[in-house]
Amino acid sequence: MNSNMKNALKKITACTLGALMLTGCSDFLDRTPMDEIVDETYWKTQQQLEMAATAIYSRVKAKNFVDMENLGENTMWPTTNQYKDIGSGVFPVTQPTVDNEWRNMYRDIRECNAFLENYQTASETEPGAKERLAAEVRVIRALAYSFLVSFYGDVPLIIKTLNPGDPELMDPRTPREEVIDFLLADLDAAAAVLPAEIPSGENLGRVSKGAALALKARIALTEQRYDVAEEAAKAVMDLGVYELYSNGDPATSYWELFTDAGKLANGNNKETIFARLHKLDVIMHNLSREIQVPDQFARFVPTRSVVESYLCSDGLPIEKSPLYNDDTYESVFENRDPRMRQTILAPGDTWGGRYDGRPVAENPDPTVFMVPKFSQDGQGSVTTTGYYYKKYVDPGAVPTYNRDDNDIHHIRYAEVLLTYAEAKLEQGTLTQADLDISINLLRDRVRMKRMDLAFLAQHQMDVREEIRRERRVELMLEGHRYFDVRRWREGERLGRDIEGVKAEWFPQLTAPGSSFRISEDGHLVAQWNRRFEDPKNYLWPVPQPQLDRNPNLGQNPGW
Amino acid sequence: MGKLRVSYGTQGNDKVGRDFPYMPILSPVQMNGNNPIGDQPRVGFRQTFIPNQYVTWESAEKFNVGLDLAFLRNRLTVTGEYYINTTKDILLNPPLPDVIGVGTGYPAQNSGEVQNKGWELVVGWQDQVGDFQYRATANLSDVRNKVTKLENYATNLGDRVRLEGHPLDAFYGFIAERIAQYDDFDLVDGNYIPKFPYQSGDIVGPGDLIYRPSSPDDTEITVGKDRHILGSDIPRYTYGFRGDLAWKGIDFSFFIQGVGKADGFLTGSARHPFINNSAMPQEIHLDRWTPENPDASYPRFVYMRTHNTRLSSYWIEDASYLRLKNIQLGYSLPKRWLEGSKLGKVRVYASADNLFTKTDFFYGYDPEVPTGNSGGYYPQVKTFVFGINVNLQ
Repeated sequence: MNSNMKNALKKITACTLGALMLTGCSDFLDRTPMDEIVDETYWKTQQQLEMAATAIYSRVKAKNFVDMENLGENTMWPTTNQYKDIGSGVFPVTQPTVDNEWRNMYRDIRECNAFLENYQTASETEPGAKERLAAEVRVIRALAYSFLVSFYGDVPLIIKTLNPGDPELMDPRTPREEVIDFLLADLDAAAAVLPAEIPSGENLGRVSKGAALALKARIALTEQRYDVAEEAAKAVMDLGVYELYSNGDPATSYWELFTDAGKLANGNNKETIFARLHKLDVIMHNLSREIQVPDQFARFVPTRSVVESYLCSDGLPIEKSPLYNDDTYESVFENRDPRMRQTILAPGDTWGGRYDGRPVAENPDPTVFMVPKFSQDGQGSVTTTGYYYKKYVDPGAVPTYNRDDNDIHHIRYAEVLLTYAEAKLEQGTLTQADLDISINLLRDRVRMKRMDLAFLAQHQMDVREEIRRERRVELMLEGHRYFDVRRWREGERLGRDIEGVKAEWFPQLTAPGSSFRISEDGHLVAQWNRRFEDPKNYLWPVPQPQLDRNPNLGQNPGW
Repeated sequence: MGKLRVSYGTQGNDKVGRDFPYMPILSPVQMNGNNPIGDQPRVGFRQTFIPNQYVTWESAEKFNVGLDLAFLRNRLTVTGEYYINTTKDILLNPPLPDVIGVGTGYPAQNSGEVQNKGWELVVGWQDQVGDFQYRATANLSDVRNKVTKLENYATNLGDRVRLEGHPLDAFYGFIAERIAQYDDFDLVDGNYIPKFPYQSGDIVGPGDLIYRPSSPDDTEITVGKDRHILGSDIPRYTYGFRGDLAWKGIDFSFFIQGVGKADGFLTGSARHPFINNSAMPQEIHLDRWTPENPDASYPRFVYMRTHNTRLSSYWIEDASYLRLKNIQLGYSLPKRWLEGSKLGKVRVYASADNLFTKTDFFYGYDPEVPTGNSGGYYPQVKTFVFGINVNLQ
């Protein structure tokens, strides 16, 4: 061959060899990025699993859970508020919160699903750590689903991560009963793995066996599976690790639980089963300031129905008790369930709301509250109903913005006791002994007269009504009210006007030219135009954007 | 005398927001968002991007036909263009059913095709008579934008929408007919009950907007059936005119530009009062509906409710305009005055930018601001400049 042909042959050989090499090593070109972390390079060590779990914990509702009190009639936000609109029944299908809640809960669920799909391959440095973390994630996933089911009824049950082309995206909703069956079974599986003792030290704040069982009890109670609720609540009680918080003084123990002293990190709180922790200068919120805003309208204020729900110290409701006296604003607070003065601000209490309703010149000490303020002047906290809350207020955090480091108590032992009593009542098996190991522990903490079935019968008080009252009083301003009212099918409470103080206590409310609205029986009206339609308002509508994208979801009755 | 040109080509684009859109990426979550488990600040890690295994290039096909003509010893020039640009496999982030759980970070998907068809015409005249030179150029162009194909989910029904057959991100909302008066309501127990269909959940009273239902027998307005395309902010019939004159040392030029047809709208505190705690009423809101002023231009004031202020045909503005963009007058000193000095050229001039704008847009606002502006964009300012150019040699 001549040299030209030799060159050509060399070139052809080189090209063929090169092509063969490349096709043989085609995945040589599939690389993971060196400057980003991807699924293929994550999920390998226990530390990575813990960091993923930390991110999932941060999705649990924090102060947002307390904000959900605005859905009920225990409080009234002074200006427009999405939750308040939903609770008042005046909102369209396009209400942003309705869509945000759906989207955010499924976002949280996806994170949990991603964890549960990937954790098996990791190596662990402590035996059993992987399964324990996975169990914690299961419980948090169940918490997210519990909100979804409670708001929307039937919801799609997604237990794996989906990709854009998956047909499951267009599935119709799973019936509520099926979702609940799944959650209860999942919580049982989680509880079997989780430790029973209260997590402490470097595990402070983690989900424990008690949290899984308490959540199971909560979900079962909401779905009216009373036997399951009773059994789960009793299992928490039988763990023997929880007891009600007390500092020795019944006049302040209940209030103190919701301040800095009650933080899990202080080590004195064996009542809180699961909380959203906060830490000064690391992660804080603004709840204390919002409750007693020192220069504007207080964001959370007790309503007339809250104030009137507390029993008198003789164990009778206000309409039956001779001790009740509503001649003046101060007298209403006398001789009542001690939790009233530990939840609601009474004249003479110290507070953070600065100058109250007295003229500034007559107020020698703005740290003491005497008279409510109804009009804004920038000098002190204003109330639309005439009352203020003191629960969940840490006085040191009121003057500053977003520097409240109280823990938000999601699940307390008190709730478990109340669930036990209610579950037994609804099955018809409630006895005095049951009350003594549940509700009467709550009464003893504040030294309130115990609940006695014979006493109730003697005074024609309905046991169910009293157990519901006890739940409302104990769990005031923690976020439960809306869920409880709907479970009891008492929705028409949400449709009533929000009222406040008796107008005759404060002449400025009825002065000529004042713009305060007074009801027919002489009380200040803070909000009217509320509506509640049965069955429509027992559920939220499926959000319009979701229906637009997947018409197979269907809609809830009445929407 | 002239030439005809035709071109055709395709181009790809993969600059679509992220590298590695086909892989799930994890990122840290900062300590100030996390539960301090163990009473220690903690760092978390979570998936922040969901992959799309099938993502591929966007490709743009461009076809252009142009004609350049010159007449009368090149004094009159005419250029015309016609083009069709089609972008295929457009990478959009269409909102998916939220059970997928990505929050608002929807993955990029090749989901549609958009076509732009347009034409452009430029006519220029330039001549010189003795010492007097002048030139005038006029241009006019138009483009029609249309979404020609859209895969599932990409419609994005909100205030802006992508629907096949309509411009990209067209405005979408109810059609408002007029402001309701007292006789549109029945008074029952002190409550005003509307006689017309309205969206359930809106608290409607006299002075609010009445929306048109899609059929006269409808008893209520719903977002599912009563929203329509209201307009598009893509400008049509853009034009400009430029003139230059020069005589001895004096030069004068001006530039006018404008848009013949465009829609826009303002939101937030730019247009509405009392939608939040900082939106104050403007003088124009004095003409709001009250029982004494039933013929108003603005509905009644309500505090923090959205049933009047949501995007509807009532708030669409005409964003077409004509603007004297620049006008300039200058004088250059004659060369013979500068001989012997170190100066090569001295020119004094005065110019003004944005001197004059004629538009029907909402008062005070620049029609060229991005649509949906809520008052955050400062309008383009009139500028007056006096100057002197000196060239040294």
